[in-house]
Amino acid sequence: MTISDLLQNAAGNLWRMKLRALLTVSGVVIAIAAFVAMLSFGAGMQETISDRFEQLGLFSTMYVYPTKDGQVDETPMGRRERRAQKESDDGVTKSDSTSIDSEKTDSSQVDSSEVDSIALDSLPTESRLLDSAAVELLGLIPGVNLAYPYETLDITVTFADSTFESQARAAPMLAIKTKLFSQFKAGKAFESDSSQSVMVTDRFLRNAGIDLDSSEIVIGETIIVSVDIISIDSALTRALFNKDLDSVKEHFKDVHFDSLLNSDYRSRLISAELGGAFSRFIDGYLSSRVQIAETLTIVGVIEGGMSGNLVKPVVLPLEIGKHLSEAGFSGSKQDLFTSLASGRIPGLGSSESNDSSQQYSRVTLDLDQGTPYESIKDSVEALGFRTFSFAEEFTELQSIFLFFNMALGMIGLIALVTAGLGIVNTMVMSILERRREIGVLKSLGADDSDIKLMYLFESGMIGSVGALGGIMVGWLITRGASLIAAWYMRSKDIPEMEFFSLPPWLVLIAFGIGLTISVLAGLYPAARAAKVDPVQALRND
Amino acid sequence: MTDSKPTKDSSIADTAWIRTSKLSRHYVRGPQEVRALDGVDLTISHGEFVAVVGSSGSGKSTLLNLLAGLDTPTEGQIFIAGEELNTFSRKRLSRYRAEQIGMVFQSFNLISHKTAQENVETALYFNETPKSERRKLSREMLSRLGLAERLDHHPADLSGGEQQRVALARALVKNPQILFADEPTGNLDRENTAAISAMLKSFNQNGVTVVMVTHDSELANTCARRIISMDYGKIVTDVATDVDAGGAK
Repeated sequence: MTISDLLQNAAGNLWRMKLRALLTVSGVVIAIAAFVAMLSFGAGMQETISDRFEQLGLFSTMYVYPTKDGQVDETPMGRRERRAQKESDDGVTKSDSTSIDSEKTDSSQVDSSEVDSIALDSLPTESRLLDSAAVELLGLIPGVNLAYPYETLDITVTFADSTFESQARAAPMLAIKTKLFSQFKAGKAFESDSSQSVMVTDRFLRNAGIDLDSSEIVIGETIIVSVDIISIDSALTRALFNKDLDSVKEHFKDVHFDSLLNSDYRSRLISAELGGAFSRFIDGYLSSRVQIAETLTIVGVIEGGMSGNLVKPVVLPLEIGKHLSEAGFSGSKQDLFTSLASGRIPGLGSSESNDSSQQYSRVTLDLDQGTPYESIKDSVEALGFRTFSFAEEFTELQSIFLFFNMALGMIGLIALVTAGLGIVNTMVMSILERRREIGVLKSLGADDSDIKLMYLFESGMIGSVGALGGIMVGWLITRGASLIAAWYMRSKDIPEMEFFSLPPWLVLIAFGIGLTISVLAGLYPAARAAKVDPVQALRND
Repeated sequence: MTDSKPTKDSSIADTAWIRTSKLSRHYVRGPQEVRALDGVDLTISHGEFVAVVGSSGSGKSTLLNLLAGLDTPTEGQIFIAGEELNTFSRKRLSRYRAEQIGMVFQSFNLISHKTAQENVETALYFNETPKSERRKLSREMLSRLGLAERLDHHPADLSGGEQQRVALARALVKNPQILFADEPTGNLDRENTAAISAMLKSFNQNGVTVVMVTHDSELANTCARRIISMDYGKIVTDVATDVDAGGAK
């Protein structure tokens, strides 16, 4: 029998038992539809995230963090690295502990090959601070297009008639040209690092109560960006004399000067006075704030990415950002710890207050997409810094998605197994009804393998038709769910995203699984049909 | 009709086209062993028309099934054109049924959901006849048996005689060397019995060896040149009739 004969025969037989075939096919349709819809959800989420990463240039973005001697890095990548290190630890450390004094490194004289060599051979893993020299050095690593500090500010924004708290990020012009800052909804980028202009994100518009579809209306509008800074002088003043002279006199009125000769009394008094002064210092440090403001023109509206969390709501030109950040300590915990880590008291300034001593909590690297992120990560970590790479995170995410998809797929497979049992039942019934036909075919020269193939083609056809139908129904389900989700997100003013995707590989897998399960389900009936004794089947009863 | 299939040994073909030696078929039914066929020695020459007669349970249908390769003997040997059937592989046995023999049954055994033409075409599925050829051959055979107007009729729409003619067409469309007919007229009236017997004789005259099992001694006497009587699984008599090679009595 040719394949065409087998197909024709299978189609004819299924057509004859329409109702039974339809019910059996329906089982497969439902199972495949469930399988497709569930895996389509996993694939859609993965694709949406991948697209967003790609769109925002996150695959070519890496963050670099400083390290401090003896500190345990509790960031996700730090924990992960320790885990990996533990697993692969063979007693050899990645690099020796020789520290490179960044202040002595003339980064302008370091070429790419030197950076490679330094990175691999001599630079420490133990302690590096992110200063301007380090930023320059990071920019020289092969595969790094651009390195720039990631500086954020807690700001107060006055826009139109409203004033609200927000966050700003200062970025240099070169960074503004990267994908991360190039998802314009309206307007354009600012023209220089010192222009009195600003870019805002969709999140800013939401905070300001402006409809996202009307982004254009804010272009050309003015906003006032201000920061509250802490003056160390006011803190010191308050620590010593936070009251007028009468109050001071009143304060010392209770001191028993004649008892000062008593060492116990003297100790208690000094402790109390020092405690009081420290308390007043902290109080003054955190309370004595001065506001610095800049009036800026909105020139562009960009997407904030990742629900507006990737780019801060306000993007400032680098010099404007510096002006605001260097005016004083903002009081944020991040600034406090960054400053303390670099040995400075925030707000007090540094004894070496030139630009090269500026410490950063994070540096952003824009990577050349042709260079594997792993090699850049290795180079950066060999310089003694910690890294965070979206590409690496995405790789992890993909393995999570794999498990997620497998879990969803298993649920679909259970439904498919049930549908497979339906096929077995239908085929066995068919054998009982067609015993005589099988006998006739054997008498005409059909081999056992011909009979088996006939039944396998029938069950395969049930699976194929069911799989095709299931893929279509599954697709319709995902479209319906997608429409509902889109409607819901619009109603909640959430940026729309696609939850479902039906990539060709999923269509092929769904069809392949439908066909495989149905053929497997047909194996037993086919074997049973092949065993039919023609003499018994043709007996005149 | 095309020429007969080449034989392995033409001398054998002329003398012992079908030969059995001590052919037995025993069944176990509960505690009892039923000897359906018991040590049958038989030789049928190429082009013979042999009628096997006997009462129910005499073993004639069992003999036919064994000769057709549908059943396996308990003991003994079957030689077809010099080749021992018992040594055939499963595939070779299927090819034997597909290419060398045709079968007709008392109850026609047509496939009810197929038309007359499709039923006849089914016989050509298994001998590698090209699809286009199948249609042509089946039409020709049905037309030859007077069913040109019944090609698209399903068995249920045909009379008993017509159904048996379709079954005959199905058996003969592949141009077999041997036709095994098991009570081919058992369900037919006198008129149709005469028509079918005439057809069988006609095909026999064209070189097809016919082995027909029947209850009907009159039919056997009018068609067959040799009548074998069986009882209790043994051949009782084996006699030539006065039917000549041309089929006339």
